[in-house]
Amino acid sequence: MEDQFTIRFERTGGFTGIGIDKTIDSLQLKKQETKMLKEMISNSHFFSLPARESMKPHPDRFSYKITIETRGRKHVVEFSQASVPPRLKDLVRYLIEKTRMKK
Amino acid sequence: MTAPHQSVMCVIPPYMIENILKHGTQIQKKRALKALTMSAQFRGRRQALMNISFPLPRILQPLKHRLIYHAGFKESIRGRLVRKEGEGPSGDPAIDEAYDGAGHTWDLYYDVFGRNSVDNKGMHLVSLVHYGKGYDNAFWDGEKMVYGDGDEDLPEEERIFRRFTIAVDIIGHELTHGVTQYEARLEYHGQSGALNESFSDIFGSLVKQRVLNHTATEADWLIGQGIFTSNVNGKAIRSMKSPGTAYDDPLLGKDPQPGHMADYIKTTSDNGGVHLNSGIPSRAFYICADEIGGYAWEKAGQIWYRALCGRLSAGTDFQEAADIIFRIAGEEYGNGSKEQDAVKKGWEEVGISIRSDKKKSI
Ligand SMILES: [Zn+2]
Repeated sequence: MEDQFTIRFERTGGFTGIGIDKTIDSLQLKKQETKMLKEMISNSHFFSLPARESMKPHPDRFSYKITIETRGRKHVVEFSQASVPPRLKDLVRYLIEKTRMKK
Repeated sequence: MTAPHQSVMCVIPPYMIENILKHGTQIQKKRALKALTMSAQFRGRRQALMNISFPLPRILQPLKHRLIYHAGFKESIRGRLVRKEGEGPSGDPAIDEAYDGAGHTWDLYYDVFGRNSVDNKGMHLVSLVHYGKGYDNAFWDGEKMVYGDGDEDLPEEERIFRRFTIAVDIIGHELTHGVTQYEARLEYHGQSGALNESFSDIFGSLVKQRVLNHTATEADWLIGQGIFTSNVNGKAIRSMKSPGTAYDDPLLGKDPQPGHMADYIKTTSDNGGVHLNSGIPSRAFYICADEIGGYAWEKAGQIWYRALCGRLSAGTDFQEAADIIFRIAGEEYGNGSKEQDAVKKGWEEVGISIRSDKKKSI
Protein backbone atom coordinates (compact mmCIF):
# COMPACT_ATOMS: atom_id res chain seq x y z
CA MET A 1 0.00 0.00 0.00
CA GLU A 2 1.35 3.39 -1.06
CA ASP A 3 1.64 6.42 1.22
CA GLN A 4 -0.51 8.55 -1.04
CA PHE A 5 -4.09 7.56 -1.77
CA THR A 6 -7.63 8.87 -1.97
CA ILE A 7 -10.76 7.22 -0.69
CA ARG A 8 -14.12 8.22 -2.07
CA PHE A 9 -17.05 7.19 0.09
CA GLU A 10 -20.58 7.34 -1.29
CA ARG A 11 -23.75 6.57 0.63
CA THR A 12 -27.10 6.42 -1.17
CA GLY A 13 -30.60 5.31 -0.26
CA GLY A 14 -31.98 5.21 3.25
CA PHE A 15 -35.43 6.43 4.22
CA THR A 16 -34.46 10.06 3.59
CA GLY A 17 -32.74 9.40 0.26
CA ILE A 18 -30.19 12.05 1.30
CA GLY A 19 -26.79 10.90 0.10
CA ILE A 20 -23.19 11.43 1.18
CA ASP A 21 -20.31 11.71 -1.30
CA LYS A 22 -16.94 12.63 0.18
CA THR A 23 -13.34 12.07 -0.76
CA ILE A 24 -10.57 11.67 1.77
CA ASP A 25 -7.08 12.55 0.60
CA SER A 26 -4.16 11.04 2.51
CA LEU A 27 -2.20 14.27 1.96
CA GLN A 28 -4.67 16.09 4.17
CA LEU A 29 -4.50 13.62 7.03
CA LYS A 30 -2.18 13.50 10.01
CA LYS A 31 0.60 10.93 9.74
CA GLN A 32 -0.93 8.78 12.45
CA GLU A 33 -4.33 8.66 10.70
CA THR A 34 -2.73 7.83 7.35
CA LYS A 35 -0.83 5.00 8.97
CA MET A 36 -3.98 3.60 10.57
CA LEU A 37 -5.93 3.85 7.31
CA LYS A 38 -3.17 2.14 5.34
CA GLU A 39 -3.29 -0.73 7.77
CA MET A 40 -7.07 -0.99 7.54
CA ILE A 41 -6.94 -1.04 3.75
CA SER A 42 -4.17 -3.64 3.68
CA ASN A 43 -5.91 -5.86 6.23
CA SER A 44 -9.15 -5.76 4.26
CA HIS A 45 -7.37 -6.87 1.04
CA PHE A 46 -9.50 -4.17 -0.54
CA PHE A 47 -8.01 -4.48 -4.02
CA SER A 48 -8.96 -8.14 -4.25
CA LEU A 49 -12.56 -7.75 -3.02
CA PRO A 50 -15.30 -8.37 -5.58
CA ALA A 51 -16.71 -5.16 -7.06
CA ARG A 52 -20.23 -5.97 -6.01
CA GLU A 53 -21.27 -7.81 -2.92
CA SER A 54 -24.78 -9.23 -2.98
CA MET A 55 -26.77 -6.12 -3.80
CA LYS A 56 -30.24 -7.52 -3.16
CA PRO A 57 -32.05 -4.29 -2.40
CA HIS A 58 -33.62 -3.85 1.00
CA PRO A 59 -36.23 -1.15 1.64
CA ASP A 60 -34.66 2.01 3.06
CA ARG A 61 -31.27 0.46 3.73
CA PHE A 62 -28.17 2.45 2.89
CA SER A 63 -26.01 1.41 -0.05
CA TYR A 64 -22.30 2.13 0.06
CA LYS A 65 -19.67 2.55 -2.63
CA ILE A 66 -15.97 2.84 -1.80
CA THR A 67 -13.39 3.86 -4.40
CA ILE A 68 -9.72 3.75 -3.46
CA GLU A 69 -7.13 5.20 -5.79
CA THR A 70 -3.43 5.02 -5.30
CA ARG A 71 -0.55 5.33 -7.72
CA GLY A 72 -1.46 3.18 -10.71
CA ARG A 73 -4.28 1.35 -8.98
CA LYS A 74 -7.99 1.97 -8.59
CA HIS A 75 -10.68 -0.29 -7.21
CA VAL A 76 -14.39 0.14 -6.50
CA VAL A 77 -16.49 -1.95 -4.13
CA GLU A 78 -20.27 -1.64 -3.73
CA PHE A 79 -22.47 -3.26 -1.09
CA SER A 80 -25.61 -2.78 0.98
CA GLN A 81 -25.66 -1.94 4.67
CA ALA A 82 -27.29 -5.33 5.05
CA SER A 83 -24.26 -7.11 3.61
CA VAL A 84 -21.06 -5.29 4.54
CA PRO A 85 -18.11 -7.56 3.66
CA PRO A 86 -16.74 -8.71 7.04
CA ARG A 87 -13.20 -7.66 6.10
CA LEU A 88 -14.42 -4.10 5.46
CA LYS A 89 -16.26 -3.59 8.77
CA ASP A 90 -13.52 -1.47 10.41
CA LEU A 91 -12.92 0.66 7.34
CA VAL A 92 -16.66 1.25 6.87
CA ARG A 93 -17.07 2.23 10.52
CA TYR A 94 -14.21 4.71 10.13
CA LEU A 95 -15.61 6.17 6.90
CA ILE A 96 -19.12 6.56 8.28
CA GLU A 97 -17.81 8.50 11.27
CA LYS A 98 -15.34 10.52 9.19
CA THR A 99 -17.92 11.59 6.58
CA ARG A 100 -20.83 12.13 8.92
CA MET A 101 -22.85 15.22 8.13
CA LYS A 102 -22.80 17.81 10.88
CA LYS A 103 -23.98 21.38 11.09
CA MET B 1 -77.74 -3.32 16.94
CA THR B 2 -79.84 -1.98 14.15
CA ALA B 3 -77.57 -1.85 11.12
CA PRO B 4 -78.84 -3.79 8.14
CA HIS B 5 -77.29 -7.09 7.26
CA GLN B 6 -77.37 -6.16 3.58
CA SER B 7 -74.32 -3.95 4.13
CA VAL B 8 -72.26 -7.13 3.98
CA MET B 9 -71.86 -8.14 0.37
CA CYS B 10 -70.78 -11.70 0.17
CA VAL B 11 -71.61 -14.82 -1.70
CA ILE B 12 -72.97 -16.52 1.40
CA PRO B 13 -75.98 -14.65 2.78
CA PRO B 14 -75.37 -13.17 6.23
CA TYR B 15 -78.09 -15.27 7.93
CA MET B 16 -76.29 -18.36 6.77
CA ILE B 17 -72.96 -17.10 8.07
CA GLU B 18 -74.65 -16.36 11.36
CA ASN B 19 -75.89 -19.91 11.50
CA ILE B 20 -72.52 -21.36 10.63
CA LEU B 21 -70.78 -19.25 13.24
CA LYS B 22 -73.26 -20.46 15.85
CA HIS B 23 -73.53 -24.12 14.97
CA GLY B 24 -70.89 -25.04 12.37
CA THR B 25 -67.72 -27.06 12.78
CA GLN B 26 -64.40 -25.26 13.40
CA ILE B 27 -63.50 -25.41 9.71
CA GLN B 28 -66.92 -24.13 8.67
CA LYS B 29 -66.64 -21.30 11.16
CA LYS B 30 -63.21 -20.36 9.83
CA ARG B 31 -64.45 -20.33 6.24
CA ALA B 32 -67.49 -18.27 7.12
CA LEU B 33 -65.38 -15.72 8.90
CA LYS B 34 -62.96 -15.59 6.00
CA ALA B 35 -65.82 -14.90 3.59
CA LEU B 36 -66.99 -12.15 5.87
CA THR B 37 -63.53 -10.61 6.23
CA MET B 38 -62.90 -10.74 2.51
CA SER B 39 -66.09 -8.93 1.70
CA ALA B 40 -65.29 -6.38 4.36
CA GLN B 41 -61.88 -5.89 2.78
CA PHE B 42 -63.44 -5.57 -0.62
CA ARG B 43 -65.60 -2.70 0.48
CA GLY B 44 -63.15 -1.61 3.09
CA ARG B 45 -65.76 -1.64 5.74
CA ARG B 46 -64.91 -3.00 9.06
CA GLN B 47 -68.33 -1.61 9.82
CA ALA B 48 -69.66 -4.62 7.95
CA LEU B 49 -68.17 -6.84 10.61
CA MET B 50 -69.26 -4.67 13.48
CA ASN B 51 -72.84 -4.55 12.25
CA ILE B 52 -73.41 -8.26 12.42
CA SER B 53 -75.71 -8.87 15.33
CA PHE B 54 -74.10 -11.94 16.81
CA PRO B 55 -70.96 -12.37 18.83
CA LEU B 56 -67.98 -13.45 16.76
CA PRO B 57 -65.93 -16.14 18.43
CA ARG B 58 -63.32 -14.20 20.38
CA ILE B 59 -60.45 -16.36 19.24
CA LEU B 60 -61.07 -15.39 15.62
CA GLN B 61 -61.12 -11.66 16.23
CA PRO B 62 -57.95 -9.99 14.99
CA LEU B 63 -56.00 -8.34 17.76
CA LYS B 64 -52.95 -6.19 17.45
CA HIS B 65 -49.83 -7.38 19.15
CA ARG B 66 -46.95 -4.95 19.46
CA LEU B 67 -43.48 -5.70 20.75
CA ILE B 68 -40.84 -3.01 21.18
CA TYR B 69 -37.17 -3.91 21.58
CA HIS B 70 -34.23 -1.69 22.61
CA ALA B 71 -31.09 -2.21 20.51
CA GLY B 72 -28.85 -0.67 23.18
CA PHE B 73 -27.42 1.87 20.68
CA LYS B 74 -25.75 -0.95 18.76
CA GLU B 75 -26.25 -1.86 15.12
CA SER B 76 -27.51 -5.24 16.16
CA ILE B 77 -30.73 -6.82 15.01
CA ARG B 78 -31.31 -8.20 18.49
CA GLY B 79 -32.48 -6.22 21.45
CA ARG B 80 -34.05 -6.27 24.85
CA LEU B 81 -37.86 -6.35 25.09
CA VAL B 82 -38.94 -3.06 26.66
CA ARG B 83 -42.67 -2.77 26.00
CA LYS B 84 -45.29 -5.24 24.92
CA GLU B 85 -48.95 -5.08 24.01
CA GLY B 86 -51.12 -3.69 26.77
CA GLU B 87 -48.29 -2.22 28.83
CA GLY B 88 -48.40 1.48 29.69
CA PRO B 89 -45.98 4.15 28.44
CA SER B 90 -42.32 3.64 29.26
CA GLY B 91 -41.45 7.33 29.40
CA ASP B 92 -38.86 6.88 26.62
CA PRO B 93 -40.23 8.78 23.57
CA ALA B 94 -38.64 6.43 21.01
CA ILE B 95 -40.22 3.37 22.64
CA ASP B 96 -43.61 4.99 23.12
CA GLU B 97 -43.76 6.57 19.66
CA ALA B 98 -42.87 3.23 18.06
CA TYR B 99 -45.60 1.55 20.11
CA ASP B 100 -48.29 4.16 19.40
CA GLY B 101 -47.32 4.56 15.73
CA ALA B 102 -47.46 0.82 15.10
CA GLY B 103 -50.89 0.84 16.76
CA HIS B 104 -52.19 3.68 14.58
CA THR B 105 -50.90 1.91 11.49
CA TRP B 106 -52.49 -1.41 12.47
CA ASP B 107 -55.76 0.49 13.08
CA LEU B 108 -55.74 2.12 9.63
CA TYR B 109 -55.19 -1.22 7.94
CA TYR B 110 -57.80 -3.03 10.00
CA ASP B 111 -60.50 -0.40 10.44
CA VAL B 112 -60.40 0.92 6.89
CA PHE B 113 -59.17 -1.99 4.76
CA GLY B 114 -60.11 -4.97 6.93
CA ARG B 115 -56.50 -6.11 6.96
CA ASN B 116 -55.21 -8.14 9.90
CA SER B 117 -51.66 -6.82 10.33
CA VAL B 118 -48.74 -6.79 7.89
CA ASP B 119 -49.29 -10.31 6.53
CA ASN B 120 -53.09 -10.24 6.95
CA LYS B 121 -52.64 -13.20 9.28
CA GLY B 122 -52.15 -11.35 12.53
CA MET B 123 -48.37 -11.03 12.44
CA HIS B 124 -46.88 -9.41 15.55
CA LEU B 125 -45.66 -5.88 14.99
CA VAL B 126 -42.05 -5.84 16.12
CA SER B 127 -40.05 -2.62 16.40
CA LEU B 128 -36.41 -2.14 17.30
CA VAL B 129 -35.53 1.33 18.61
CA HIS B 130 -32.25 3.03 19.62
CA TYR B 131 -30.53 1.24 16.76
CA GLY B 132 -26.89 2.29 16.42
CA LYS B 133 -25.24 5.53 17.35
CA GLY B 134 -25.77 8.54 15.14
CA TYR B 135 -27.87 6.36 12.85
CA ASP B 136 -29.85 8.69 10.57
CA ASN B 137 -32.30 6.17 9.24
CA ALA B 138 -35.27 3.86 9.67
CA PHE B 139 -35.89 0.70 7.70
CA TRP B 140 -37.96 -2.47 7.37
CA ASP B 141 -35.67 -5.51 7.58
CA GLY B 142 -38.17 -8.00 6.20
CA GLU B 143 -39.60 -8.85 9.63
CA LYS B 144 -39.56 -5.72 11.73
CA MET B 145 -39.20 -1.96 11.84
CA VAL B 146 -35.83 -0.54 12.87
CA TYR B 147 -35.32 3.06 14.01
CA GLY B 148 -32.19 5.11 14.61
CA ASP B 149 -31.94 8.06 16.98
CA GLY B 150 -30.69 10.48 14.34
CA ASP B 151 -28.04 12.85 15.68
CA GLU B 152 -29.14 12.79 19.29
CA ASP B 153 -25.56 11.86 20.29
CA LEU B 154 -24.13 15.11 18.87
CA PRO B 155 -24.06 18.56 20.52
CA GLU B 156 -27.36 20.29 19.76
CA GLU B 157 -25.90 22.88 17.40
CA GLU B 158 -24.46 20.15 15.13
CA ARG B 159 -27.57 18.02 14.82
CA ILE B 160 -29.45 17.57 11.55
CA PHE B 161 -31.84 14.70 12.31
CA ARG B 162 -33.98 13.93 15.30
CA ARG B 163 -35.10 10.41 16.20
CA PHE B 164 -36.85 8.53 13.39
CA THR B 165 -39.93 7.58 15.41
CA ILE B 166 -40.87 11.24 15.74
CA ALA B 167 -43.25 11.25 12.75
CA VAL B 168 -46.08 8.70 12.68
CA ASP B 169 -45.99 8.59 8.88
CA ILE B 170 -42.44 7.19 9.03
CA ILE B 171 -43.79 4.30 11.09
CA GLY B 172 -46.65 3.82 8.64
CA HIS B 173 -44.11 3.99 5.81
CA GLU B 174 -41.94 1.21 7.25
CA LEU B 175 -44.87 -1.08 8.06
CA THR B 176 -46.24 -0.58 4.58
CA HIS B 177 -42.96 -1.95 3.19
CA GLY B 178 -44.02 -5.08 5.07
CA VAL B 179 -47.50 -5.06 3.51
CA THR B 180 -45.97 -4.62 0.04
CA GLN B 181 -43.62 -7.52 0.75
CA TYR B 182 -46.65 -9.78 1.33
CA GLU B 183 -48.78 -8.35 -1.50
CA ALA B 184 -47.58 -6.76 -4.77
CA ARG B 185 -43.92 -7.53 -3.92
CA LEU B 186 -42.86 -4.56 -6.01
CA GLU B 187 -39.20 -4.99 -6.92
CA TYR B 188 -37.11 -2.42 -5.14
CA HIS B 189 -35.47 -0.72 -8.10
CA GLY B 190 -36.45 1.55 -10.95
CA GLN B 191 -40.13 2.40 -11.41
CA SER B 192 -41.48 -0.60 -9.47
CA GLY B 193 -39.17 0.46 -6.63
CA ALA B 194 -40.40 4.04 -6.81
CA LEU B 195 -43.98 2.67 -6.65
CA ASN B 196 -42.96 0.60 -3.62
CA GLU B 197 -41.67 3.79 -1.98
CA SER B 198 -44.73 5.75 -3.04
CA PHE B 199 -47.15 3.21 -1.50
CA SER B 200 -45.19 3.49 1.74
CA ASP B 201 -45.45 7.28 1.71
CA ILE B 202 -49.14 7.19 0.75
CA PHE B 203 -50.24 4.82 3.52
CA GLY B 204 -47.81 6.46 5.96
CA SER B 205 -49.46 9.79 5.28
CA LEU B 206 -52.93 8.24 5.59
CA VAL B 207 -52.01 6.97 9.06
CA LYS B 208 -51.13 10.53 10.05
CA GLN B 209 -54.20 12.05 8.38
CA ARG B 210 -56.47 9.63 10.20
CA VAL B 211 -54.83 10.31 13.58
CA LEU B 212 -55.32 14.04 13.01
CA ASN B 213 -58.79 13.57 11.47
CA HIS B 214 -57.70 15.62 8.46
CA THR B 215 -59.48 15.64 5.13
CA ALA B 216 -57.39 15.52 1.95
CA THR B 217 -57.60 19.29 1.73
CA GLU B 218 -56.65 19.86 5.36
CA ALA B 219 -53.74 17.42 5.35
CA ASP B 220 -50.14 18.65 4.97
CA TRP B 221 -49.05 15.65 2.82
CA LEU B 222 -45.58 15.87 4.34
CA ILE B 223 -43.42 12.85 5.07
CA GLY B 224 -41.14 13.04 8.07
CA GLN B 225 -42.29 16.35 9.43
CA GLY B 226 -40.33 17.19 12.59
CA ILE B 227 -37.40 14.94 11.76
CA PHE B 228 -35.11 17.91 11.00
CA THR B 229 -33.75 19.95 13.90
CA SER B 230 -34.10 23.74 13.83
CA ASN B 231 -30.55 23.87 12.38
CA VAL B 232 -31.97 22.76 9.02
CA ASN B 233 -33.96 24.87 6.61
CA GLY B 234 -36.69 22.37 5.86
CA LYS B 235 -40.09 21.25 7.04
CA ALA B 236 -39.90 17.54 6.19
CA ILE B 237 -38.13 14.91 4.08
CA ARG B 238 -40.69 14.80 1.28
CA SER B 239 -43.83 16.61 0.16
CA MET B 240 -46.40 14.52 -1.71
CA LYS B 241 -48.40 17.61 -2.57
CA SER B 242 -45.43 19.52 -3.90
CA PRO B 243 -42.44 17.24 -4.46
CA GLY B 244 -39.14 19.10 -4.41
CA THR B 245 -40.16 21.67 -1.79
CA ALA B 246 -39.67 19.84 1.52
CA TYR B 247 -36.24 21.33 2.27
CA ASP B 248 -33.65 23.69 0.85
CA ASP B 249 -30.57 23.84 3.03
CA PRO B 250 -26.95 24.94 2.53
CA LEU B 251 -25.60 21.60 3.79
CA LEU B 252 -28.25 19.18 2.50
CA GLY B 253 -29.04 20.96 -0.74
CA LYS B 254 -32.53 21.20 -2.17
CA ASP B 255 -35.17 18.46 -2.00
CA PRO B 256 -34.53 16.70 -5.35
CA GLN B 257 -37.90 14.95 -5.78
CA PRO B 258 -39.65 15.36 -9.13
CA GLY B 259 -43.44 15.67 -9.31
CA HIS B 260 -43.79 15.15 -13.07
CA MET B 261 -42.56 12.66 -15.67
CA ALA B 262 -40.78 15.51 -17.49
CA ASP B 263 -38.40 15.69 -14.50
CA TYR B 264 -38.01 11.91 -13.99
CA ILE B 265 -34.51 11.25 -12.66
CA LYS B 266 -32.44 8.63 -14.44
CA THR B 267 -29.78 7.40 -12.06
CA THR B 268 -28.19 4.20 -10.82
CA SER B 269 -27.94 5.53 -7.25
CA ASP B 270 -30.55 4.62 -4.66
CA ASN B 271 -31.65 1.58 -6.70
CA GLY B 272 -32.52 3.85 -9.58
CA GLY B 273 -33.75 6.78 -7.52
CA VAL B 274 -36.57 4.98 -5.73
CA HIS B 275 -36.78 7.71 -3.06
CA LEU B 276 -36.69 10.42 -5.72
CA ASN B 277 -39.05 9.30 -8.48
CA SER B 278 -41.64 8.18 -5.93
CA GLY B 279 -42.62 11.86 -5.91
CA ILE B 280 -44.38 11.34 -9.24
CA PRO B 281 -46.92 8.59 -8.24
CA SER B 282 -47.27 10.13 -4.77
CA ARG B 283 -48.34 13.44 -6.26
CA ALA B 284 -50.80 11.60 -8.55
CA PHE B 285 -52.38 10.15 -5.40
CA TYR B 286 -52.53 13.55 -3.71
CA ILE B 287 -54.21 15.17 -6.72
CA CYS B 288 -56.72 12.33 -6.95
CA ALA B 289 -57.57 12.41 -3.23
CA ASP B 290 -57.88 16.19 -3.21
CA GLU B 291 -60.13 16.08 -6.27
CA ILE B 292 -62.44 13.49 -4.70
CA GLY B 293 -62.53 15.41 -1.42
CA GLY B 294 -63.29 14.16 2.08
CA TYR B 295 -60.97 11.78 3.90
CA ALA B 296 -58.26 10.47 1.58
CA TRP B 297 -58.37 6.96 3.06
CA GLU B 298 -62.06 6.48 2.25
CA LYS B 299 -61.94 6.44 -1.54
CA ALA B 300 -58.51 7.18 -3.00
CA GLY B 301 -56.90 5.08 -0.25
CA GLN B 302 -59.31 2.26 -0.97
CA ILE B 303 -58.55 2.27 -4.70
CA TRP B 304 -54.78 2.30 -4.14
CA TYR B 305 -55.07 -0.41 -1.48
CA ARG B 306 -56.90 -2.67 -3.90
CA ALA B 307 -54.14 -2.05 -6.44
CA LEU B 308 -51.45 -3.00 -3.92
CA CYS B 309 -53.28 -6.11 -2.76
CA GLY B 310 -54.06 -8.28 -5.73
CA ARG B 311 -53.58 -6.22 -8.85
CA LEU B 312 -50.05 -4.85 -9.11
CA SER B 313 -47.17 -7.25 -9.50
CA ALA B 314 -43.43 -7.24 -8.92
CA GLY B 315 -42.41 -5.55 -12.16
CA THR B 316 -45.25 -3.03 -12.54
CA ASP B 317 -44.13 0.36 -13.88
CA PHE B 318 -45.83 3.77 -13.55
CA GLN B 319 -47.90 3.43 -16.74
CA GLU B 320 -49.21 -0.02 -15.83
CA ALA B 321 -49.96 1.11 -12.28
CA ALA B 322 -51.89 4.12 -13.60
CA ASP B 323 -53.93 1.95 -15.99
CA ILE B 324 -54.72 -0.64 -13.32
CA ILE B 325 -55.66 1.96 -10.71
CA PHE B 326 -57.93 3.65 -13.28
CA ARG B 327 -59.69 0.34 -13.96
CA ILE B 328 -60.11 -0.36 -10.25
CA ALA B 329 -61.74 3.07 -9.78
CA GLY B 330 -64.15 2.13 -12.58
CA GLU B 331 -64.98 -1.22 -10.98
CA GLU B 332 -65.51 0.32 -7.55
CA TYR B 333 -67.29 3.53 -8.40
CA GLY B 334 -68.37 3.12 -12.02
CA ASN B 335 -66.81 4.02 -15.34
CA GLY B 336 -66.92 7.77 -15.84
CA SER B 337 -67.60 8.33 -12.13
CA LYS B 338 -66.20 11.34 -10.32
CA GLU B 339 -63.75 9.03 -8.56
CA GLN B 340 -62.48 7.52 -11.80
CA ASP B 341 -62.12 10.96 -13.35
CA ALA B 342 -60.11 12.03 -10.31
CA VAL B 343 -57.73 9.09 -10.80
CA LYS B 344 -57.31 10.05 -14.44
CA LYS B 345 -56.67 13.66 -13.52
CA GLY B 346 -54.09 12.67 -10.90
CA TRP B 347 -52.00 10.66 -13.34
CA GLU B 348 -52.45 13.10 -16.21
CA GLU B 349 -51.16 15.99 -14.14
CA VAL B 350 -47.93 14.13 -13.47
CA GLY B 351 -47.54 13.36 -17.17
CA ILE B 352 -49.06 9.88 -17.46
CA SER B 353 -52.07 9.42 -19.75
CA ILE B 354 -54.31 6.46 -19.02
CA ARG B 355 -54.40 3.78 -21.70
CA SER B 356 -58.01 2.76 -21.25
CA ASP B 357 -57.98 -0.19 -23.59
CA LYS B 358 -61.00 -2.12 -22.36
CA LYS B 359 -59.96 -5.34 -24.05
CA LYS B 360 -56.78 -5.42 -22.02
CA SER B 361 -57.76 -6.77 -18.68
CA ILE B 362 -55.56 -7.53 -15.72
ZN1 LIG C 1 -39.09 3.27 2.22
